[in-house]
Amino acid sequence: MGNLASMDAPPIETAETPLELDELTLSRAQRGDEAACRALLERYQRPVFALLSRMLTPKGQRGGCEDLAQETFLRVFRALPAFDRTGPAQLSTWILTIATRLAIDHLRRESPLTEPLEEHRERLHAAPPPAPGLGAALRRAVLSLPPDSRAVFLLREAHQLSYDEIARALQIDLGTVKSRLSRARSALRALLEDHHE
Amino acid sequence: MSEEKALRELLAAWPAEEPPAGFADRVLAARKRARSAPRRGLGLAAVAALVICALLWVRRPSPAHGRAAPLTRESVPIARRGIAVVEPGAALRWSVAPTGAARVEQERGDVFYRVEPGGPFVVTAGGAEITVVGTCFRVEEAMNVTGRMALSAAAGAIAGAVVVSVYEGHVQVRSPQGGVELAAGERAEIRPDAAPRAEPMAVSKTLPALLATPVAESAQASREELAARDTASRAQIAALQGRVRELEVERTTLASRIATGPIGRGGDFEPGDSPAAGLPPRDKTHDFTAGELSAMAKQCELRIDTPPLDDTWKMSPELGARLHLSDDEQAQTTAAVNGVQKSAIAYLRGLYVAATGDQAGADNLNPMTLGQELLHKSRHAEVEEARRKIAQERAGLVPPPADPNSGTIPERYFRFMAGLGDSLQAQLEPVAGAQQAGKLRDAIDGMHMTMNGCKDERDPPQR
Repeated sequence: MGNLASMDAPPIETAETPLELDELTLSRAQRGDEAACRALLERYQRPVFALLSRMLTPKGQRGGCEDLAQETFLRVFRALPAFDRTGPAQLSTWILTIATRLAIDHLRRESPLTEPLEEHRERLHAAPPPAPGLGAALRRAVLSLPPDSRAVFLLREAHQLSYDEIARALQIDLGTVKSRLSRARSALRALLEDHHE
Repeated sequence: MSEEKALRELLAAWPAEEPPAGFADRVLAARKRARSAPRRGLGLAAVAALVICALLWVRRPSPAHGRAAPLTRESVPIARRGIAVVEPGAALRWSVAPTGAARVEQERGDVFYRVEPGGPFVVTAGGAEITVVGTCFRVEEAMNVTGRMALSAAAGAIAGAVVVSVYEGHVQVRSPQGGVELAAGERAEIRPDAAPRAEPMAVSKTLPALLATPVAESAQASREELAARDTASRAQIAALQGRVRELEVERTTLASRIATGPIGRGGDFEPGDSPAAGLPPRDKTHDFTAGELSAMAKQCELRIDTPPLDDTWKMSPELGARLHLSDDEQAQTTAAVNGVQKSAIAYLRGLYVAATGDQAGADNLNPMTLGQELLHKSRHAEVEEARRKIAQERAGLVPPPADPNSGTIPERYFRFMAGLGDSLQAQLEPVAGAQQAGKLRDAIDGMHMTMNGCKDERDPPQR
C-alpha cells in the first residue's frame, strides 16, 4: 500500500457524484413546483443515502438513515427558494452539506456510553462477511474516526468535494480540513496495512 | 496497486445504502404537511378564509371543456396544470380527457401559455400543432397582419401566419410543411410556404415587426447581432418572469374574490354563452334537483366533491365559530370528516388492488393518484361509458345495481366518488344538523371536480 497521505489523484467517478439538476428544473423547484421537487429528490437521494449510511454507526443506521435523509430534504425544500444558483456552491454540495451537519448532530446526540456496547453487540451478532474483505476493513476504519473527521474523509473521497467546499460545508478552515483528512488517511492506512498482513 | 486504484476498490467494496422504495413520495407528503400546517394556525378569520379558498381554487380542476374569447386580458385554467393568458380579441376552445390529456384549439389572437409537466397538452393554431411538455410559450395568430397572411395552397390547411415563442422548456411544432423543436429563447414562424424554423427571439419586436423579418436573416446574422439577440432574449425572459409574477398576483386576487363573494360563472365562457338548459350553476356540487340531475345526465356530467383525502383534517376555530359549533361539535365534526376520509382511502386502495393486483402501489400512492391511475389504466371507452352510466344512475334514469361494487372499475370509481360528498353530509347531519351539514360540506377544504361531455362530441380519441 502506498502513501495515502500524499495522494492528490483526480476525483474518482462514483455513483455518489450525480450530474447536477438542470437550471430550468431547479428554478421550478425553487418556486415549489412538485414535479421539479420530485426530480430534485430523485436526482440527489442516492448520494444523500450514501453519505448518511456511511456516516452513521450501525446503531444509528437502524431507521435513522431514512429519518435523517427525509429531514435533509425537508430542510433543502425550506431553504431552496433562497439558494443562489450563481453562488459558489453547487446544488449537490449544498445538499450534502445539510446532510452532513444533520449526521454530525445526530452522532453527537448518541450516548457515548452505549455506542461502544451497541457496536460490540453488532459485531458479535452480525453475520460475518464472506471474507474479511477490504470493504469491512474500510468500514471499521472510517467508523473509528470522530464524526468530524469521518465527514471530511467521506466528503472528499466518496463525494469528491474540494477542500474549499468541505471547509465551507463544515465551517472550518482549510488547514483543519487538511489535517483531519491527513489523520483519517493515516488511520486508514494503518488499518489497511493490518488487513494486508 | 496504486493508491487511487486501492481507494476505488475500497469504496466499491463498501456499498452505500440505497433509498428505500417510496422515499420520494414520503418526503413530498411530509413537505406538503409541513407547508399546510402553519396555514391552519393563522389566527385571523379573514386570513384563514382566504387561505382555505385559495387552496380550494388551486385544487379546483378546470372544466373538462370550454371556450374563451374575452374583451379584456383573462387567465383561463386548463386541465389543472395549464394557464392560458388570453389577450383581448383572442379566442380559444379546449377539451380535457379524463386521462388529463388537454387539447386547445386557438382560433385567433395572442395567447400566452404556462403548462406544468404532465400528460399530453396540445395546442392547434392555424393548421399547426404545438405539443407541450412543460413550459411557457406564446402563440400569436396573425390573422390581421396585412401582407403577411397567406392562404395555403394545400387545401387551406394554414389560414394565416402563426408565431410560436418559447420562454421556458421545449415545445414541438408541426405544420404540413414540417416540424421543429423549439427551446427556451427560440421562436418559429409557421407559414404556408415553408417549414417552421427555430430562431432566437428578439426582445422588443412587436408581431408585425417579427413578421417583417425575413427568416433567412437569422442564419446570416453576425456574431454581434446574435449576441445582441441573446441579450434581448434574456431581457424578454426576465420580462416574462415578471409576467408570471403578475399572474400569481392575479391568482391571489381571484382567490380573494372567491373569499369575499359567491363564485361566479367566471370567465371561462363568453358573455351570453349560457350552460345547457336545466344545468345547475357551475359552483353547485350537491343537493341537485331532479331536473338538474336529468340535464347533467344528458351531458354525461358528474360533479364530485370530497373531503380532503391526503391530509388529516382539523376544523379551525374560526370555521367552528362561524358555524356556531360548540367545542364538542367541532371535535365530532373533525372525527366524522376523518372517518369518511379513512373509509374513502381504504375503498380506493381496495379498488386499485382489484384493478392492478399491486398492493405495494396501493399502499404507497396518495389517494388522488390512485384515482388518476385507476382511470388511466382503464380503457378510454370504458371510462366514458362509466361516466355516462353513473350520471344516469344519479338522475334516476337507470336503476343502480343491487351490488354497488359490481360493474367495471371506472364505474365503481365514479359511483363511489360521486357519492362521497353525500356520505360526508350524512355523517355530519347528526352532529351539526341538516342545514349546517350542507354548509360544512361546502366549507371543508376538499376536492371539487366536474366532468362532462359525452364521448362522441368533444374528446378526441386518446388511444
